[in-house]
Amino acid sequence: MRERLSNALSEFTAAAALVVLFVALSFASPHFLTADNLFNIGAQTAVIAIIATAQTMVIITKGIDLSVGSVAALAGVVGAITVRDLGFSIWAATAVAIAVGALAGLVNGLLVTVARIPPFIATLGTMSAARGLVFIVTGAVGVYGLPESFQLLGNGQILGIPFAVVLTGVVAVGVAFLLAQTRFGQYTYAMGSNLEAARRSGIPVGRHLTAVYVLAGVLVGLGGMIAASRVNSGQPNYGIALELDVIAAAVIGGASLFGGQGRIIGTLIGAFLIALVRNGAVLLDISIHYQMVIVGLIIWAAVYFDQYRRRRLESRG
Amino acid sequence: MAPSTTSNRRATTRQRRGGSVLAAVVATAVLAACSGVEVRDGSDDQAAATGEPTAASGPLELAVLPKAVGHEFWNTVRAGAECAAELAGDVTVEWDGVTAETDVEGQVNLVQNFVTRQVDGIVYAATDSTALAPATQGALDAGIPVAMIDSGTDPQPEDVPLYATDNRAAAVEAANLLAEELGAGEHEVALIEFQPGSQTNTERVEGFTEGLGQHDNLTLVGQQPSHSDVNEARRVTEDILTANPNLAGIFAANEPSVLGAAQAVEAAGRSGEIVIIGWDAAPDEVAGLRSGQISALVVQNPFNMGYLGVQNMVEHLREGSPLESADTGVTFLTQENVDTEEAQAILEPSCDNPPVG
Amino acid sequence: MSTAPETERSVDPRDVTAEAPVLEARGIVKRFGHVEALRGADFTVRKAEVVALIGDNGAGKSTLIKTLSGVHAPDEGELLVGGRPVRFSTPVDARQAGVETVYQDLAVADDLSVAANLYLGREILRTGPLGRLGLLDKRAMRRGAAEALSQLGVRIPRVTTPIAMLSGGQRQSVAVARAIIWATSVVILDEPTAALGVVQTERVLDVVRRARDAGMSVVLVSHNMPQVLEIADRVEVLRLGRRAARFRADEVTTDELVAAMTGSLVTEKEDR
Ligand SMILES: Nc1ncnc2c1ncn2[C@@H]1O[C@H](COP(=O)(O)OP(=O)(O)OP(=O)(O)O)[C@@H](O)[C@H]1O
Ligand SMILES: [Mg+2]
Repeated sequence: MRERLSNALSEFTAAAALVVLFVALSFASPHFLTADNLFNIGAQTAVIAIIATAQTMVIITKGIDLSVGSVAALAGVVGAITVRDLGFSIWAATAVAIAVGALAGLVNGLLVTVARIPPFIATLGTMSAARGLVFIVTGAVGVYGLPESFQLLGNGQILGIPFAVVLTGVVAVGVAFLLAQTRFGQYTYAMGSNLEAARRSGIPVGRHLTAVYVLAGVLVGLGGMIAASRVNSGQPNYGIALELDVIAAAVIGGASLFGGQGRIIGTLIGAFLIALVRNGAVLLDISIHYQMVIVGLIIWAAVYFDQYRRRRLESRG
Repeated sequence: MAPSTTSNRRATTRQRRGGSVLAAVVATAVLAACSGVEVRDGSDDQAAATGEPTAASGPLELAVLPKAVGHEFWNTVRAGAECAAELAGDVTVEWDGVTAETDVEGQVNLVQNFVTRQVDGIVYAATDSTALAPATQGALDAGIPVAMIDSGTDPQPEDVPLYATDNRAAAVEAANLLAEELGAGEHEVALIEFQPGSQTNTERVEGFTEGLGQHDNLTLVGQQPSHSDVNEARRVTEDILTANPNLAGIFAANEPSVLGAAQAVEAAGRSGEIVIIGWDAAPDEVAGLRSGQISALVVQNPFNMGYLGVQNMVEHLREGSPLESADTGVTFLTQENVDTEEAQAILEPSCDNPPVG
Repeated sequence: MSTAPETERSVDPRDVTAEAPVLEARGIVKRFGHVEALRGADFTVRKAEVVALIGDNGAGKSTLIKTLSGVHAPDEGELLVGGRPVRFSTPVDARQAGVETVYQDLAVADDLSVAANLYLGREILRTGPLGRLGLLDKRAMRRGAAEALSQLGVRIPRVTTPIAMLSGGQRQSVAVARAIIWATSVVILDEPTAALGVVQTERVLDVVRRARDAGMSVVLVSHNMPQVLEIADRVEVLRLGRRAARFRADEVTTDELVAAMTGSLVTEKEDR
């Protein structure tokens, strides 16, 4: 089981950090280990976790998606506008938001595969273009005046569990299954590991890579809609610098920016680790400045560990 | 067109002690505001609009730059700027801005680009007081006059005016208002700031804490930033509520912070129980005020900022009148006064009835 | 040196009366920008033979092989399979024609397991509707991989090990095994023993012989002349992007091979 162990090692470390932090916070703040607080943490982390899941898929292909924040904002405001101006139901609006995300993903995918622009640059362009579109469609003003029903995704509950958390669970399990158990997943890892090998093995890499970006876009669209629903408005400034949070979550959870590695469980752990730091910091009234330093330290530690692990693997090879 | 009650902050304090409703509409710094009013005599506008020949009439191109595009606030500034341009006649407003208030460098470049373009004047709000000082100086060196709106630079050159809210004074007032709403007894309060490090944020935070210092019964138990993101504001407020079950009041220092804080309080089922004093007046904030989620809103007059910035710049360019700073004033909006004409003029400013007097 | 019994089949290059070659390249030209890697190269693979392709560094061997396996589309010239002209526009085309290749740069996915690499692009899916959804039958692939590897005598700790954790020689063995497992007519090996130790090399050569004995054709690129003479039935020499000479392995010496590679011995017509 040595190989499994090594693969899961950074996940394990992150999980251990999560547990340690959880226990420490339980002692440090009497309010931490309460149903209300855990409920809040779940709902607060949902959107980041879903979008980090999308980011993880892209990172596994050795890509990166810098456009997630802008695309989430675009999906959210477009969804909100369809409700406000066209009288769409929340479900129809969600479908529209997801379609917006998918379209952005398709653009990213085609830029990477057909135009052969490196993912970093391609999605940097999309990040800017999508944010511009957000301002164009909203006139740079928040989309307000939405019915109560708009809050379903972000503030609704199922059996006392936030709907957003349920959605996160469904997304995470679905994507984890897709990556681990299906041909789609196998191809995703293969392309990130060695694109040329994947091509020579007869994998239709262009089509498949595009599909990964589209699927990531779908999740980003959904995430953007949940974020909008949670604040009952379409916010043109939503998601600025969100890409950094989700990349951090993926990397802390063991995804490698060199491609070929990463699992959804790790990313979820990463997302919750960041969320716990933030939650704990507020509970203990620690200033934002220290929170940022702590998150930075965690990223360093995670990546250093990843590199260390790889170097050891390589020196064995 | 002056708000019904115009007084300086000391006067307000007296009014409060005198037991007047906290609905008092307040504008600070009477003198400066008055000078602003006087210059903006209706007949003057009329004259400019009808194209009465002046010393240097002719088309003018002014760059008007907000801190960032994407907020109601800046759109209102824009409306004020364009209103003044329209009334003056033959003035083009070039409205351009970076997308995030944190993009200080982007704004430096933007200002430089307009200097390169040789616009006739630049009216802008600095995202960072220190970082933008050289940009302002660069424009002056190139012979382009500059007027600042909302946020100035440090140092602020003598011939560069600032048309802005006195954030510090208004925030002190907000603390007083919070104390008054909460009444006697010990109370825990929290502060949702927005962008640590930004000048405006610092002024409001310092003003508020200074104000709190005058009320020994109020304890600040939480202070977290929203980074001007509603989701983030909601998150930190939720966590503050979790950590402080006895929280009685919140001061949220800008639009996204207020919306997020109100949503968190609502989600915790404590609406109306926790006093929220907010800042700005986005539609949802006003709706929250009407529904009782929010107790009071500190409302600036962004229309007036854009208006005064452009109007004075045009006069300076055409008539050589010196540029002088003015306070654009704030209004305390409450459930009681929200429907008054004065409040409406501030909330929904239009060029037909500009809230600039 | 053991020679397969069916060597009475025509191995004389000048005798083309026998059945058509299983794989043949004629007049292949391949340019990379200004570099002309192949300048009218010919190459012939007959049924159930081991043919060595040799040549100096940069002679164009790997390029020729990538043309034969569908990685590069030739600028000029034609490919024939069983005498019929074909076009390999993707590696899949070549594989469907029964041609499997071990590339000099290996082309394995380091992060995937040995089993996943053996089945890459040909995954076994679950039966039924789950399979149509793309669900992998990982157990079947693990079992298949373990069986195939043990048959080929490749020793790997376990088939779930990621390739990255294998030694260089083990990787090469896996790459060779992958090609042998899937090939139905031709296996192309571009320097398959370069990273191998003595024992592993012998094992690969053994696998090559067994494949030939099973009726498969093997193309072997190697710089190791004694090895070439030991295993090959025929040798084709590539020089400056063209075929410079052809030999029967049992009629040629190392010196002659070296002479052909350096251009001092030519058996092919220059003006083809
Ligand atoms: N993808 C490519 N792009 C540009 N030039 C290439 C490419 N592939 C091969 N070449 C050039 O084509 C020529 C032949 O290369 P090739 O790899 O086929 O040689 P080789 O005979 O396999 O050499 P070696 O024995 O070193 O493996 C060389 O000059 C090489 O630089
Ligand atoms: Mg080669």
